[in-house]
Amino acid sequence: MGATMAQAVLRAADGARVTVDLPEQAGGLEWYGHTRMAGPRLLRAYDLAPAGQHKVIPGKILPGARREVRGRRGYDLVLYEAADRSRSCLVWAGPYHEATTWFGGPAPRPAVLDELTTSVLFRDSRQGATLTPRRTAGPGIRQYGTFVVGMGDRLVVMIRDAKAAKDGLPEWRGARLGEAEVWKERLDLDPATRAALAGTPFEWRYVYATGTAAYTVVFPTRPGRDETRGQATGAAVDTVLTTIRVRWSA
Amino acid sequence: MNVGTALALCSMGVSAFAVLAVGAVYARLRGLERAEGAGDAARLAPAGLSPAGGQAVSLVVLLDGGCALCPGLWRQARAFTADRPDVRLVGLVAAEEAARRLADPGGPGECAPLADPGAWAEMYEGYTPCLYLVRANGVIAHRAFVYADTDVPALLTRALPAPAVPANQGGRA
Repeated sequence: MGATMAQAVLRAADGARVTVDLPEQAGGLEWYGHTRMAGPRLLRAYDLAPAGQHKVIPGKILPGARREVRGRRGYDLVLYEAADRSRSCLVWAGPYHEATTWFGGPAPRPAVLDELTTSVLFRDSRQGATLTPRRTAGPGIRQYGTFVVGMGDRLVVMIRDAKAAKDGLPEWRGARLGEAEVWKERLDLDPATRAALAGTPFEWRYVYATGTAAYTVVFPTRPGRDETRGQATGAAVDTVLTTIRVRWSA
Repeated sequence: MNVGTALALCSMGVSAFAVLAVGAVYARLRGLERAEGAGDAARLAPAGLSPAGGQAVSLVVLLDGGCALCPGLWRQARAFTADRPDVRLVGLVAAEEAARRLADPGGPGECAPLADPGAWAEMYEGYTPCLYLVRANGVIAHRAFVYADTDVPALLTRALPAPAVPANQGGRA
């Protein structure tokens, strides 16, 4: 095979260490994340992204939004509220990464925001930001649904903890590939794209399960460009599928 | 007054104290929670970084010896503040060695950054380089992380108060 491998060591939002080995054919990836928390008077989803992504919010997502910044040690809390007050969001903007949570209405009162920001602990580092329940916020806050997403032009990989993902895996036996078990599932494509992609690796998603991690690999396609993908791309896909390794250690 | 009445008065006193104590603990906890949540309680910079007499603000550039952006940012900050006598510019590094590495005798303004591990540790927020604006009373008015694609002159123009305007009206971006 002779593939040159690159290793990425990341932090999931709940503090787990995720190690991803990818061949160079996979191209560069940007890492995103997601986590959820539930507890008394708390049910929230948080999206993590590289720093600076929230700057598109006042221009593209909530045009003319009101912006309010509060400085904190190590990060800023940025609150956006749509001009018509129909939506709002709160961003923990650190130097390397940021976490965003959305409200389906006007910005909450300051007391509610305080309760929210004191219920979680945001810590940013080069490897990834973590957002965990603060111990002082009381017992009973549960963190779940954490995953890490790597997005690139040629590859999208979504990684979860094997313990959390085991109910979502297929019931039938998959193919063995090294220490992983692999299934392929047909992507839900529109008929034209499906016809164009028939017989190529791009019409599937590949679901891997190892002892520590469950991860899904998709090769994104764009209509009109896919027909031009030649054999070389097929070989790159094979290299990625056979050499990708992911470890999740909580 | 018989024994029964005395006992009743005593227990009433004890329970009144208990109510007060619980109330006080609750109020203190809420206060702490608010302090942590609001967090807007002004953060103070170490005394050595405050502007000197006659200057309105000091611009603290948090640097370290190894970062790729630091030499360029340090030079840009010096060029920007060269004609601003009302701004005290402080480049802050943790070690003498880093200060020597960033010293740039040919460039504009004062060349060597200040090496002060204590102040550096107090200012550091997990990222370098950073820009801080410190008011005359020691309050940190503005903090910005600087990246490779940050427009430093624009950031400085936005953060620093205009020369003629008194410091207390100048600005937060």
